Amino acid sequence: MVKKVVCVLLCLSMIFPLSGCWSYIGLNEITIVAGVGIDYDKASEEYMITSEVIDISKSNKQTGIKSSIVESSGKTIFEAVRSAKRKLINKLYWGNAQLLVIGNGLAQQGKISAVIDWFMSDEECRETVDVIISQEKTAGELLKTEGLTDSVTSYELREIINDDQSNTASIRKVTLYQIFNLLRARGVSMVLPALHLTKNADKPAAEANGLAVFKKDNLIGYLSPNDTKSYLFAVGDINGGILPVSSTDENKTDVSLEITKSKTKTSYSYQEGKITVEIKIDTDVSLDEVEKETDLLDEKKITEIESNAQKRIEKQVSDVIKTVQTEYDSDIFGFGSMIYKKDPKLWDQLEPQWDKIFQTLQVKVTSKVNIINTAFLRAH
Amino acid sequence: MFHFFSKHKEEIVNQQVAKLNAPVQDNALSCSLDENVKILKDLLIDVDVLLIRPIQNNHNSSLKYCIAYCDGVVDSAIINDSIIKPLMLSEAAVQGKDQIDVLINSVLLINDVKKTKKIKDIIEAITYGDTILFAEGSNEAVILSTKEVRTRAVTEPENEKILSGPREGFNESLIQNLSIIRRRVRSNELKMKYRTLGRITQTRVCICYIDKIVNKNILNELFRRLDTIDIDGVLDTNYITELIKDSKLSPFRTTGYTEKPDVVVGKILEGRIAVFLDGTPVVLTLPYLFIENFQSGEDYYLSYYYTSFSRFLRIIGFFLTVCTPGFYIAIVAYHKEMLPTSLLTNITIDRTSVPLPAAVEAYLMLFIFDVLRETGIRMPTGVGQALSIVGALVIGQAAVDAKLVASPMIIVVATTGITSLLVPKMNAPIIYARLLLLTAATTFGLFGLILALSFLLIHILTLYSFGVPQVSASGNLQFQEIKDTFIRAPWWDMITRAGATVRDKVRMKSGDGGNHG
Repeated sequence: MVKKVVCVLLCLSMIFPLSGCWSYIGLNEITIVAGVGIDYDKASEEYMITSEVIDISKSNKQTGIKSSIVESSGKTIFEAVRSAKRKLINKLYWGNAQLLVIGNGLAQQGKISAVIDWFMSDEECRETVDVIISQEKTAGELLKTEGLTDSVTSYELREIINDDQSNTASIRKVTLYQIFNLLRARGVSMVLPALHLTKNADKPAAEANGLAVFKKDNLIGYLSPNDTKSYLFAVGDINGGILPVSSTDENKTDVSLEITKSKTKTSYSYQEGKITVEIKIDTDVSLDEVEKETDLLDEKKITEIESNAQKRIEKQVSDVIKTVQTEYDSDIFGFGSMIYKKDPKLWDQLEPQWDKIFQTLQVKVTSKVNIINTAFLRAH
Repeated sequence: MFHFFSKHKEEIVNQQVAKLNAPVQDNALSCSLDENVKILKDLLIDVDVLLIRPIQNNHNSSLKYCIAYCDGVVDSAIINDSIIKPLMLSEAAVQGKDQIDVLINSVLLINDVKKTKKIKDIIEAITYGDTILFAEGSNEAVILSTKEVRTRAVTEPENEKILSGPREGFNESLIQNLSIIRRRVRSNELKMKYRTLGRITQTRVCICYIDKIVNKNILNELFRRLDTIDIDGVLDTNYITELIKDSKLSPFRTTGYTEKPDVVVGKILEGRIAVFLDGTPVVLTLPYLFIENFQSGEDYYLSYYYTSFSRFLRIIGFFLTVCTPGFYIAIVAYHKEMLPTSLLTNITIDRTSVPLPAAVEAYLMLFIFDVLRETGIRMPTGVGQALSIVGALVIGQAAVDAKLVASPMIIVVATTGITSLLVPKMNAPIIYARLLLLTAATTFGLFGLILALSFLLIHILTLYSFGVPQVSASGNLQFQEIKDTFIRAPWWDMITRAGATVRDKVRMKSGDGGNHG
């Protein structure tokens, strides 16, 4: 009996060390962080942290949730984060932070790994935080603007990023853990969504503005929103957005196609030491807008629009690949990763010179566009 | 010193118990009428309701009788017309050895008549409302049934109100309760066996079952346990419940209870045994499975679509009422990241100006809720309105306005309270389980909550009712066995009776459930 009791007690005592990281923290002992911006100040060699926190004193049922900005700095990220407490009653609580804005200065200096590392290691932070690059001078500037529909800017920015890919295809959403993986992946470079400030009704407002292109952990340039769409076609990660094309052979734009579904197949062939990559894009679209009256029941007309769209996609995708090859020389399309997955031995040979190979890579883009839906109207 | 005193005390108690236990002196009756009356008077000394009336036969003055009964429990009209009148006027009565038989056979107009020589039988009978007849020159007495059963009317039980279905309820008379059952089951398979419980009260217990269906092992086990009961009195079936319970310390019920005859008949048709007790309308049914906590007699009278949903609600309700406070505390204090941000913000806004930590708040509000519930049960009906005003306005509205309690906590407590009413049969275990889970969640967060919940589930799994596991964890689950658990299958589909509780599983002989299609 005594033995049994001792056994049970020993088993029960296990629950104390096994329970992990925890402690009772009341809701009135925390300052909820909604989003955070991180910059690096070269002169003082310090990280500057701009946290958008929920302002409990201003928020109530009538006004909704209000936020305020807390700025702090430190030699390391953790020090900067913790030193915010010097201005606050309660410690910052990161469990519900939804957005991480990284200043372009910090990204250009290759300090992004440090940021990602702290956010991955800290037990409170979510691995699913959305990460964006600020194209403004500092990351804080984005957070300090007022949201158009949400009083908490971080939430507004997060919603912009979340919905963008299926509506305008001008950025590609990336979360913290994906960055962690991308930074360690072989044969693929990272892109992050970039946002900038623009004028809207005489006030500054944040806007999705393409992608920031990285080489390893250095920011080396940007893709415009239009180029981003082509990039998304190339990597097969487009599931919405508008495709403006021409209904005739002339070089003008008078038809809007809405992308409903798109599949991309990428393959490569290795012959005589030369790699050729082939990208096949198969897109379903619906025809939404025609400038002048067109007989949409005419199959020839539809086929013509389809072929025009195909040509345009092929051209734009090829262009963006060319630009990236020549200007940035960073394999953001993941061609290297594709080779690595299919033929690891070949990749081992290629990897040391991949930067050079990528620049001269032959890429053949073929596109197929199917109009599956026409909003056909006719006046009688 | 202490030891000495306690031992001394124990001795005194033992002596008293021995005195109480001493059997009624079974000295035989004598042939003398006066002597017999004296014996009876001695035994029932200080029982002033005892009435003794001497009678003499009109035709033969040497025929002397004496009847004795307790005032108030007998039907005077019967005594006058069927006992005194024939004894006085009869010409058939004779003297001598067989005079008692002659009286029984041709004089007394009483349906239930017994001869006895035992004083113990006489005492039992007279206190129960029977009349005792002594005759001069006979050492036997006659027990004449003259009981007058005064009972409450058959009404609908207060705490088992139903929408549709039979509304009859038991009352405090054993005989009447049994008659209600008898009327519903007109078969010789329905057995009713008497036992007597309570050394002083001598209360009658009736064990009722269907012979063909009942599991004999369980029946024997019940009789064995009933025989072990040694108590001075039983006033309600709950005495028996606690005395014969399988796991005596568990707050969970291992016997069912009802005040409705239709429920009892339903149960005994499923192989259960019903235990009736004189003086209480509450009837025990056993063995009791855990799922019966979620069943209600009405389930079988309403559409099975409706009652299947009710079952689902009750089971969800059980988990909600047990887990909600603990879950809320665990989330709010340990796992804030699990809340959507807007919800977290709203709760935080509500909580900022509240002085107490959420956990203390939870204990306090649950305590207040239980106080309100308890007063609600006991109070006179007139005070009801005042109580609901105090409960709803003062504690709900005013406490939130005064920032003493955060409004999410009111919602949590209200959810807990309302859902607890879904499973009224588990009111006791629910309170303790809820506190256990809340404490675990307060100290260890969700980890503790899950741990305590596992502990609770393991405990439920180890419960037995008369040797039958309350929750069947057998691997070879038969579909037929679960047709009346989480859902209530339609009657035409419940072809067999379920479970280890029954011997004969055939409910429908044809097996197609009368499906004339």
